[in-house]
Amino acid sequence: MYAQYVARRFGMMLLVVVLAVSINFLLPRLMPGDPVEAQLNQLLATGGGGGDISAMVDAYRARFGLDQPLLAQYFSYWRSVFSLDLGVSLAAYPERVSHAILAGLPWTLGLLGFATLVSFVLGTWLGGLLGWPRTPRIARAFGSGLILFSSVPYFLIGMVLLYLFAIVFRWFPAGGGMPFGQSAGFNWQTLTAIAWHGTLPAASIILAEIGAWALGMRGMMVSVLGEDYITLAEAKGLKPRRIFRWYGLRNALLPQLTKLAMTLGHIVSGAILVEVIFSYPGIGFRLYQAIQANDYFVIQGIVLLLSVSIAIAMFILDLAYPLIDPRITTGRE
Amino acid sequence: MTVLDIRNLTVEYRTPRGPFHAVRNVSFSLEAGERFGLVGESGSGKSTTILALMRMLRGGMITGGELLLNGRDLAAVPDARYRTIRFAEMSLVPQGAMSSLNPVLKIGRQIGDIFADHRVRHTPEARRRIIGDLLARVGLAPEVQDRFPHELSGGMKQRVCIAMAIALKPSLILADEPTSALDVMVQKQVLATLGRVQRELGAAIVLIGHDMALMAHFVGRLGVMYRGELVETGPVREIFTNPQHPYTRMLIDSLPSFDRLASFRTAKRSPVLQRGRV
Ligand SMILES: Nc1ncnc2c1ncn2[C@@H]1O[C@H](COP(=O)(O)OP(=O)(O)O)[C@@H](O)[C@H]1O
Ligand SMILES: [Mg+2]
Repeated sequence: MYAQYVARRFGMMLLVVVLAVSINFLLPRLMPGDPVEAQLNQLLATGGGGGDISAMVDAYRARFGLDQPLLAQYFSYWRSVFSLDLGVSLAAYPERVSHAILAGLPWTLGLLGFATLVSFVLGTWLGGLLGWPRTPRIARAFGSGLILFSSVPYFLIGMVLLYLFAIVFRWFPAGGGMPFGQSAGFNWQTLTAIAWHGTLPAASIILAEIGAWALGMRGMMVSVLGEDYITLAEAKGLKPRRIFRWYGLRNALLPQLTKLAMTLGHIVSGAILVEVIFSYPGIGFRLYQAIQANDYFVIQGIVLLLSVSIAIAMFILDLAYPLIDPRITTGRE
Repeated sequence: MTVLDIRNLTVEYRTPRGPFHAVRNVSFSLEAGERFGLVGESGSGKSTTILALMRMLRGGMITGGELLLNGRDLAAVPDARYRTIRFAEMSLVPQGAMSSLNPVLKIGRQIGDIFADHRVRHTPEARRRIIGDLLARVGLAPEVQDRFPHELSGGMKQRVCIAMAIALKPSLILADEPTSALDVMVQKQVLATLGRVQRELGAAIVLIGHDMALMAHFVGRLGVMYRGELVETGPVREIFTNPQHPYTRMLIDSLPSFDRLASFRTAKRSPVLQRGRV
């Protein structure tokens, strides 16, 4: 039964990926004009680029076989996707798009993965406590204060933190992922440098997100506490701590986990502005630069990565969900 | 020995339109092993009476009267200690059997939690065996402890709730319309099971219900509630033959005549109704 369920979910993920790749293939071809040529002409007009533009156009046409029938192009597009060949950057020719993505991805996954998980754990715990009638009043007041932050956009928090702690007090660096000129190696110095540079961006995301997680969790907790199984748990004479943890929190957690998977799926695009504010060398910053520079293939490659990572995150959630919620085991009953 | 003695219980709910007396001056008592039925229309204060006993009133409070459980004045028990009385001395079989089990924990775990939080220690093997025995006593396979609630039917869930209610061998079981969420056929079977385990345990039981015919088969004495007051109490047979309150008369008259006859006749024969032999 579980195998069948997994197969069905896997099929679903493949379908999403196929759709994403196909749309990614079709969109530029449906658009009027040739975006590459337009871009190259613009570069030419502004005197940028510097290289041999007609050679670039030829290389581009040869690579993608734009003179071939659409179906043949489609298949060769799939081949290039499989070999992670997403074309070349127009703004930073001849840097490959795949290289640009791979260079930015670890930074984004590290920063956002860390910040998202921390805010999820803290916010969920806080929300659970806020929804629990036995929570002391002081903790409640403190928690409600933190929730206020969720009404402030994270880039505003980021700007305030940047101003205070990087510019006024100079405790943290104002941008970048590593000190200039320092080469990355797997050693203590590198790790502390990364943590040092990541503190302010991570803090602004965490501060902004905790409140949202806590709000959602508090609502769920309040509604779960109204369930009959909570009443029976109390009637059974169970300890409040156990009722909170295993009868309340454990049930209220389920929708939060769905939300977590979605958030992790959107991780790459989740905090573009934070990366921009702190000039953090992640995918989001790359995407921002690409949009500014009309760097068509980089945008396309990153968008493809976004869709695929969301599909994969949803698949992983589907796999994990039956373990968390026993009612979901086989789908239909 | 008197297990439960309720004297002049009055319960008030705070509502936006001022205090509301859901239970007024209710008094009744149960001897060890006795079966007492509480009937009355919905909203007449039956559940409130039970919740007051369990000290689980939401938005309400006891404003008068005395509650004595096994001779002890419950008002003197502080909130923090009340937890240890629940299910150890008086247990509850809930009304909403379908939704009263935690969907994410296995049945065995939900029964085991009762032991764990009432300081009953077992080795893991003994715990498994004891839970299996409990389930067998209510007519379920011991392996049900490895199931999740959604894998059980409504009747099975209510049996699990009954197994929980006898886990700590309480002297009083409070059953609030324990079968109202079930099919008619299943209702009778589950009620029979409840009656059997209650007799085996020797616990007294307060059974709440609105089906007079079903009640008459089950209990020895009946109390009729009407708008927060206990308007009539007495042995089932007396109430059926000579109802005092107009509302009781209406309840009996509304039964199909076949039921009325059958109830009355079974009432004569049923051994549990002969007091002192329970
Ligand atoms: N939490 C509450 N707040 C206010 N009124 C309540 C509350 N619970 C019950 N009541 C009222 O108290 C009365 C008795 O309710 P209840 O004891 O549940 O009746 P029964 O179990 O006999 O159907 C009803 O009128 C009901 O509306
Ligand atoms: Mg009721």
